[in-house]
Amino acid sequence: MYHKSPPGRYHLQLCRTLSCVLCKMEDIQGHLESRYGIHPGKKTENGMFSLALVECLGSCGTAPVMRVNDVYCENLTIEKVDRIIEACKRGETLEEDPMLAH
Amino acid sequence: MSVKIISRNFETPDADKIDVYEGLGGYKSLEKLFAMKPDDVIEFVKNSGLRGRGGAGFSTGMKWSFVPKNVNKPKYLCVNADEGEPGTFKDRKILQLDPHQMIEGVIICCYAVGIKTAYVYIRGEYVKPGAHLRSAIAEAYKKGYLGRNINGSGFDLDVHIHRGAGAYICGEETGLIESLEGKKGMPRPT
Repeated sequence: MYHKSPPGRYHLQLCRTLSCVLCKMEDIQGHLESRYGIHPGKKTENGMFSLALVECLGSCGTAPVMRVNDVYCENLTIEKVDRIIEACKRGETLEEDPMLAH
Repeated sequence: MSVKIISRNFETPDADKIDVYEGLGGYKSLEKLFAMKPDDVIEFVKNSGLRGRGGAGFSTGMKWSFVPKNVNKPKYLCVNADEGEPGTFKDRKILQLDPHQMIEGVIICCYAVGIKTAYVYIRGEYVKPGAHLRSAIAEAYKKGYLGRNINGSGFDLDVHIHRGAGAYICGEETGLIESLEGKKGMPRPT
């Protein structure tokens, strides 16, 4: 949660622990890298996005999971990631599922 | 058919609000609690078969009975909400959807064991659950379930929240206590 250099405007924390790996977080990471040029430990040139691979976010029931700043984005799919990234680009506020999707 | 215990209020909208929680029977246990002797509460919990959800499934009543009695040193309750054990994901839901359930449990435990101050150590990433718990605690104070002379019982209890700073190991008991005391969150060597 502490940064040694300024993170992007949207700091993505993608979980890389067991449950998320089993639910193919690598595909999500691959998509972030190939489609959007967002790489672990780096910030995009425009300063918009940075990515960190983190340990268990305590949301294994809805793996794979990623935090976007303080917001939990759960049950990630490639399509969902696209929606999230586009929403961030438009400057929209992301909402968590109020019932924490089962 | 499965019986929902921990998650029984999860699908009720606004169960994190005290009025809704009370409507679901919340905080009713306190009348019964304060009519009992603390030791009897421990026996009651032992006999109930309630067990910890930290992984070992240890008997909750047994754990409570290990706390030394009649000592002059202060006693504190640490509530471990620094969840991050791969495969578990209950804390966030409890804190966010039904935080009063946890507060009621804290009151029962503290009364049984003789504790007047409790700390909830919550992982820093749990921003929203932390906010829900904070407002739930404020509501509980307002209603007199926390603070001085709870429900006219003469029992006092304060609950504080301590947010972690993002450290995987602080879910480990001794690491959590070190961090809570303002030190580096490293497990104590045995």
